[in-house]
Amino acid sequence: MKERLHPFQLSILIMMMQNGLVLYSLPRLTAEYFGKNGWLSIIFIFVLVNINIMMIAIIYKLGKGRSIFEIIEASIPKWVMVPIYLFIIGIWIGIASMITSEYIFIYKLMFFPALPYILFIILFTLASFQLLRGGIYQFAKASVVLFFFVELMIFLVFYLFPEFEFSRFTTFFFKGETDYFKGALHVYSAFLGIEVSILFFPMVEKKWTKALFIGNFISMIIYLSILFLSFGFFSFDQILHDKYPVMTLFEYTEVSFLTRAENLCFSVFAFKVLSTIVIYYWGAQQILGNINKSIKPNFWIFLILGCGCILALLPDSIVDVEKWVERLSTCAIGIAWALPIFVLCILFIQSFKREIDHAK
Amino acid sequence: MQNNITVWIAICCLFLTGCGTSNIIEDLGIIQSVAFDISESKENPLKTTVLFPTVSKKGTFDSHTLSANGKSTHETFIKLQNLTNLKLVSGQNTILFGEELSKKGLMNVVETLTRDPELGARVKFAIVEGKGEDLLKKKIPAIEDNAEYLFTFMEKLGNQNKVLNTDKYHFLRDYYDDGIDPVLPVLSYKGKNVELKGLGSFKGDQYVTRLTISETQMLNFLSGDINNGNLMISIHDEKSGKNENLFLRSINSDNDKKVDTRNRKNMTVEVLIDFKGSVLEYTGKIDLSKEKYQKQLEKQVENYIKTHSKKLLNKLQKYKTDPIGIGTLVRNRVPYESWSEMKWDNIYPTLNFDVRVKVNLINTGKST
Repeated sequence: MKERLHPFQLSILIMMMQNGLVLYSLPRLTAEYFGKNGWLSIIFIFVLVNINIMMIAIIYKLGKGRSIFEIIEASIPKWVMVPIYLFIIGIWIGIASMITSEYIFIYKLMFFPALPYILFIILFTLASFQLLRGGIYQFAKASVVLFFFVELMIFLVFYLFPEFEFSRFTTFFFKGETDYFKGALHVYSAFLGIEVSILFFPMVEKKWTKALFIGNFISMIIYLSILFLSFGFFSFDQILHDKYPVMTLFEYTEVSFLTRAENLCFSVFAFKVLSTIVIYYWGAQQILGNINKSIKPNFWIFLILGCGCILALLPDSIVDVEKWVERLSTCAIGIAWALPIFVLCILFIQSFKREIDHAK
Repeated sequence: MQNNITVWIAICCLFLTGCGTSNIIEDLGIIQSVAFDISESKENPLKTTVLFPTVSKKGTFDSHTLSANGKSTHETFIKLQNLTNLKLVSGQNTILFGEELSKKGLMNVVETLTRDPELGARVKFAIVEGKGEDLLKKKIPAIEDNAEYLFTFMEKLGNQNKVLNTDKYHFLRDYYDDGIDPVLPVLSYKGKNVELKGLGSFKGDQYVTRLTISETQMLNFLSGDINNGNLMISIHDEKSGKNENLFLRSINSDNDKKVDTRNRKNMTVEVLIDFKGSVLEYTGKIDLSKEKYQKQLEKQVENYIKTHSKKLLNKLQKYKTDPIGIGTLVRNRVPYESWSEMKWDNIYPTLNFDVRVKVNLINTGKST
């Protein structure tokens, strides 16, 4: 019998696979699009994400643990689905490679301007290859270790409390120049990655769905605490003028054995970025594996990583990358909602048909 | 086997990233302190002076200063690179601004500094009475390294006095906040040593007035709660008819501010200060061991704080600078629309202040 993922490991995996890179600019994004006290927007978006994962949980329950491919292909012929599958694969590989690029661009901007870009890409690709070959079970185990590397950093922000002041929050809510829709897309992209869990069904224990909610909740708590702190630590316009406010936040922390912690924090953050990238590649690999079952999984891994590597090399500037991340995130949000709705519809039709058959 | 190979390749990649840029420390001039001034030339109005340590072949340590004029910060840096055999890299922890430049506005310079990721948020900022360049070049007795001295000096000031804790983060935070103005310490090199002259208060990014040391102390009490502070005051003694000195230490003061915004044209700000301290020095004649006289002294201290804080507040109103953050108080009391329509700059000078002080002298020292 195949080993199945434990809910605890799963919740950490879920948390790790969400796109944390957005966190570094999240205070600015919420301030820019939601205005004063924009940090509260994260709570509304969290509710939306919960509705999204609730759909995934319902599919799992109604589908009785069948994989979504089995559910879909019971009603719709595979050749009809192939273009949609390819679209999803394209978006997922695209977003993974753009997140890699974005991370490297920020790294170059902040710390090593002369860093050879290609070496970093190779490093990421090799690490992804290793993690992908082990399969999702090994990856979940690895992500627990990576989690402790990354999330311990959050305790550094306690050193910022002396500068924290409630008066900077202001008594205004969502005032100033706002664009809720665009802002919602940006903030939502911080939770992206979780939609890949729709492919987990055959690999998980029965009561796994609570892990989805717990993982997402941990993410929210981390985002919320960083946002809350930022709005009391910086003045509102200061956040608007800072490209990566969280970087400045870590820059200011000073412990007797550590100054300018942002360098360390951002370097360790590579593990979280890696988890997000790998989960998207893994998702693409699963779908490709379903399209053609006769080909060895390693071939798909090579193909996916090859594409990802080339795509990551394409953008020339951070503006380019940000533009592409924004577009692809919007598509990924579309997939995150459309795919579960689509599968749910099929499930309803199937159960409706079954009822008619019974009646006959 | 395949596993091992990929692990090795990954490790090699990791180490190869180190080949990106190499910096040999002997070839570097690590800038420790920078001063920005207005230059004499009209074409190149900005003068930048940098201070960096040099080590001779014999192993003796020295520090070196260079200056260049230019139109912008980085133009001057490029010119500075052409003046030395070392590669100048930034590692500065103190940045000084000349008085004249500060009065014209600092944002042009500071904005460039915020663009540079090499500069941390904790870089110390200060104004220099006269030229920043002269302070960096000054020979201070028994001090070898001016930059290190300046940094520790300012760090000490920040630890002693909350309002003197000024760095890039604090300056930008208060500059961008619409309800408070930034402040920077004012240093002087006119005497033998470097001396703290007071606190420079800003209107936007322009230095408008200098608060004296005693005004700075008052500002500290008005800005927030104080733990373990000191205060030197001079009190008029009716008996002798002279001014007597009183030094209080271990001061704990709580501060509460309220604002009545009902009448927008005539707002009143109430400042409540609850002040506890112990007497360390008193040059007057009254017997402090008697409760009656202690109470009398407490009253005198109350009056002193009240009148001097009122004087300070009036001065700040006159220069339209708000380092205490009265604007923040008002902003948090009125609706968003009223605040955005309110011409705060015009209202601030018309505010009424009601300062209430309660003083408790915890002890009067060991002697009677």
